[in-house]
Amino acid sequence: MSATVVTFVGSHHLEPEASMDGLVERNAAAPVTTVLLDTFDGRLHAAGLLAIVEETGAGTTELLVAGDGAVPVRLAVDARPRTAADLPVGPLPERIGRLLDVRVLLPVLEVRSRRRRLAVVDDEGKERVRVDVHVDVAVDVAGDRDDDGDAEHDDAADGAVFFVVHALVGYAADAARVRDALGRHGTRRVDGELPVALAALLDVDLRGISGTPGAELDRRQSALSGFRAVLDDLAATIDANRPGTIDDLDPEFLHDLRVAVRRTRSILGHARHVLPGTVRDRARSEFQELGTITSPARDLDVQVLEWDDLVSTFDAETAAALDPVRDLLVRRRAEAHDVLAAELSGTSCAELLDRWRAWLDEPDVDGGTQADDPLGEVVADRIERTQRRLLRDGRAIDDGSPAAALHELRKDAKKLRYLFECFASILPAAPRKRFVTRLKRLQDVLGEHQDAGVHAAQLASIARELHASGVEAETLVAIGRLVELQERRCTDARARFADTFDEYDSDRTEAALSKVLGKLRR
Amino acid sequence: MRTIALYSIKGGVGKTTAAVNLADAAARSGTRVLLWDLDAQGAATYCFRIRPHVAGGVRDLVRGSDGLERHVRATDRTGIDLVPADVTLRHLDLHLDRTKKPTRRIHRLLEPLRERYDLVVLDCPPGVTLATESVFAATDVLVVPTVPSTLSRRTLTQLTDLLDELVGRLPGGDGSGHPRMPAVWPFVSMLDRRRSLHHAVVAELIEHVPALLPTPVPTASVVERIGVERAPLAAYAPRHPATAAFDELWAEIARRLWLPPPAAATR
Ligand SMILES: Nc1ncnc2c1ncn2[C@@H]1O[C@H](COP(=O)(O)OP(=O)(O)OP(=O)(O)O)[C@@H](O)[C@H]1O
Ligand SMILES: [Mg+2]
Repeated sequence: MSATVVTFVGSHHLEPEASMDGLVERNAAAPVTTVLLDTFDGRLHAAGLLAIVEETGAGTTELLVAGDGAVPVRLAVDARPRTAADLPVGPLPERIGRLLDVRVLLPVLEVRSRRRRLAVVDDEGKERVRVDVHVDVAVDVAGDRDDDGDAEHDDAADGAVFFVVHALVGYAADAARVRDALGRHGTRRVDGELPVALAALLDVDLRGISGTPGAELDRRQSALSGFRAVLDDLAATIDANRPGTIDDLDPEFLHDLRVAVRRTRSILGHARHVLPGTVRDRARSEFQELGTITSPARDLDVQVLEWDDLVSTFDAETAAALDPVRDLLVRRRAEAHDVLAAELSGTSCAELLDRWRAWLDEPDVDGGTQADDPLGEVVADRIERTQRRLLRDGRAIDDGSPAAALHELRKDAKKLRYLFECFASILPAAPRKRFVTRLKRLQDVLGEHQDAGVHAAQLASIARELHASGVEAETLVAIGRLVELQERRCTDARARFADTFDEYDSDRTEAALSKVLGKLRR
Repeated sequence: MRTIALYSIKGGVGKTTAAVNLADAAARSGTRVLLWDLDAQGAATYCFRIRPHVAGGVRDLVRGSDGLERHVRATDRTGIDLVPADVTLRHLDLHLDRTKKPTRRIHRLLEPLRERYDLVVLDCPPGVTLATESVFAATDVLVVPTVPSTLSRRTLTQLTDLLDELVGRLPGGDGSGHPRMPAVWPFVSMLDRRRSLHHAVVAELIEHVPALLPTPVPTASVVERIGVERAPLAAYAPRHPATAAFDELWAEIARRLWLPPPAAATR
């Protein structure tokens, strides 16, 4: 079966009407800007969906949502939509919102052209196949998707004519006839709508930039080269997410940047005998500082994101009484982001990242004593040690242990988790997933315990502030209930800890782990 | 996927007009619509300039040998596909009766298209037949055009009585996951604001029919032109009040179908 939409690129001006029966002009040539939208990490693309905005010279803006083989929809919008909330009530925001979650739609590729709309029309006046003809085509690629950093790609489209053939359900034969006719004219055929076809021609990767570590490794390569590849991949993630964090486009930029910083710190921690000491020490302290800078903004992001869920359990009056708290959090969040943006756009941050990536790019560097050991063995050692420590610390915790002991354990667990994530490509998939599932269960309880505790404390301090500024009593009472709720979450998590840890500290975890280690050392 | 049927016991009340224009309003707000013309007259099919032809006739359609998908045609309106009707549909009852569970047939035929469409709109012929029961079992909502007249409330009561009677007979009340009886959402069709009787009837409907969709569709000659233009109102009269009325009617239906009912706790 052929794709629903196929673009043909011709190098000279063809006269399609001349060669096809029944092809008539529906709209005369007019300027149009066609913008392909997706999240930074390509969620629509991954789901097989396309969101395209068309802006005409007449000032109308339409959103086309399609997917190959799917029924397309086209709707008038006021402006380029960024979130599902910008779409009219109905199934579309539901369909897209689930994918977007907290992410926003951003332009991936922008095409300016003059478009003529043609169609093959039968004697009932019904369209049987649509052909859009684009000339004077110029393309802009969003900076982060652009490999060579060259914003304009006029050359690729220069002088070319683009025929976009839309097959209609139930009229496949008509579309085939048009495609055959265009194919005979020495055109080049690319599947997809115009911006998708152009992306293919210009080598623009529509998969987007994911926060998941993606270094491709070999367990037999040297530890030094493996660690450096992981760190380089993380540095690229930090760099890629920095502009979106500075512009505060959506909370995932900061989230992914922050996680990449933490992973970097954690991997540096594991690299004691792999990287040269001076480089490692300096990087550790610098990335620690960078991590610290991001904390307040992320904490407030989380509080604001979780707010609606949290408050939804309350009655309408209590919820309304909490509005001043919400407003305060929203204001604080904005302030924290301003501070963060200033730090991230400052010279010292840029210098740190430049220097770090320059070192990671250097072809020959000296390493620590294990630099030349096989990567697999070093990673296996690190996993083993970290797990040993996690078990030791966990077993030492009893009902009387302070909260700090659980926080320490949470850090151990994170270090272990980051090893599994960053070196995923050399770990055997099945036992890795089994192990990570078990580890994640433990992390969830530890995370719940700590987050709820931190939120309770922060809310209590907000209550004190609002009290001093003379806020309504209802609000203070409502905050009291919110603090209680968080404290309960914290205590519940604490109560679940012992069983969850026992579940983790078991033969099954051990079995999965030894499979992983065996493969690494083989 | 949600399914609505434009249905009325009475003929000529504006079912097809509403089916075509609600489908169009839905598509223009981002809904993937399948409009199924169940009336042998093929008026909806005609409005979209599609040839009135059911491949293999109503017998193949009802049997679903190759699935409903093979009958689907894209319309000129992005987002609306249509299953055309032809004259063989006048034997719909006959062929339904020959299948195993006739009242569940339409539901069964639509099932494979669940992921493909967000909304199915059924344009029904008037009257009460076996096909009607099959429509009821397949739909979430009956959208009922109600022409303001002293008899309009009586017609609505007849419909709810009919549904009550069918509840007993249709598979559904037994908790087996079978389709249940649809909701009934009437709206006022062909309202003439100059006629005081119309105002009185509408006021009475508002008072006694809580599920009434609040937006009335006015009588307008531009609406009658659909059969000449052979396209939904928005294609040839985008700024006409009747077009706006169908858009608002759709927005109300969409809110009822897709917005969660306001929870007690939330603001
Ligand atoms: N709002 C309106 N203003 C003016 N004319 C209308 C309006 N709505 C419908 N009509 C006209 O009334 C007639 C009947 O409408 P329509 O075909 O939609 O009704 P129907 O219920 O589908 O009829 P049937 O029972 O025959 O299927 C048509 O000629 C149509 O153009
Ligand atoms: Mg009709």
